Amino acid sequence: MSSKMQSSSSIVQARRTVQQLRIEASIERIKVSKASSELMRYCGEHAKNDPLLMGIPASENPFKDKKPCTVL
Amino acid sequence: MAAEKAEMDALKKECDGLRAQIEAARKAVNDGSMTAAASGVASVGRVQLKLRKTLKGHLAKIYAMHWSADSRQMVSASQDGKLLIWDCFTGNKLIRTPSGLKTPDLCLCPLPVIVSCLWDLETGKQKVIFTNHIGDCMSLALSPDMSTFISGACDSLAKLWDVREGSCKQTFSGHTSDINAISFFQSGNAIITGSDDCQCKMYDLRADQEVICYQDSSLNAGVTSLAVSSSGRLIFAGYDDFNCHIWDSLKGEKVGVLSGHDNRVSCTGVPDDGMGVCTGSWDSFLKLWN
Repeated sequence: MSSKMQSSSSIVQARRTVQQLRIEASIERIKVSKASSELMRYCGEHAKNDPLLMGIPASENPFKDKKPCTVL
Repeated sequence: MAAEKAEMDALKKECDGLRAQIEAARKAVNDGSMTAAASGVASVGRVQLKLRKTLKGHLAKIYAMHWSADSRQMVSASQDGKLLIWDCFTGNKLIRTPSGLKTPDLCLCPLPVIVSCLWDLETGKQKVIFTNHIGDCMSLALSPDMSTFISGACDSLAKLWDVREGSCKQTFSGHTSDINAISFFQSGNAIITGSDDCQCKMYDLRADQEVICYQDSSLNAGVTSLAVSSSGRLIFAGYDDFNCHIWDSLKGEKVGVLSGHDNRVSCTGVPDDGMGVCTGSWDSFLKLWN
């Protein structure tokens, strides 16, 4: 009895796996060269707005500890 | 019994056939490597970020952190049982309930079982349960347009899911050990993973395959966490070797390191405005760098 249930659940599992693989096999794929050039273009377009690439002037750096002002 | 065996054999044959079909389709579009394509791109040079603040307050290992949408507040979670909310401009802990933070209304939570759950934060109920991984699901990320999410698991696979349908759309293999960290590239067309196999990988979703691997023979520590700079060009990856290494995402080269923690880096995050990177560690401290 239990081995029959076990084999039924293996069949159910196998059917699910086939179903899932059918979905994954059916997708449309683009060429890696096209994907690469679009990733490179995205980085290029956004580089000048990336503070960690461009550097942050001390006066505009929100995380930098501000030194206290002394009145001379 | 014989009928069942016959069906089982047929199903297995179909699985093998479909897997071969997927590999062939991936190979057919693999017309050139990303590193070759990026050879003409200018190098970023050495990226040297300075430690701006060390946030002290937790009493035990930190295992997660998350930036608020305002790029100023941040929440950290520790094995000491506390969630602390920080004002990262002043370095102070905020005495305020979490509802004061802007949070998305749906929150993904990875569970240490084979499912991940989508919770509705307002009702406190589980909305959808996604079952597909055969190992613990260790990391999750929501796509920029919030229509899909990605999961990385101990079965070394990364999977792309449709949020509303609850279905798995794509599966990415290649890692040889647990995937501990996963993130979307800002354009939404690629994902980056970090694994106990000491490598990070970028997979392009539309080419349905790995396009670059970030590895170095001198790095023998597992990747625990990762975050991407706002342009996508820099990847900050936290490792078991107590450092956060910085990678050029296009050229696949190591371009810098954030050193200072006294134990494994367990979490990393870049705020929405891209103004810095936060690392959290088992040494109980969080550090802000830019």
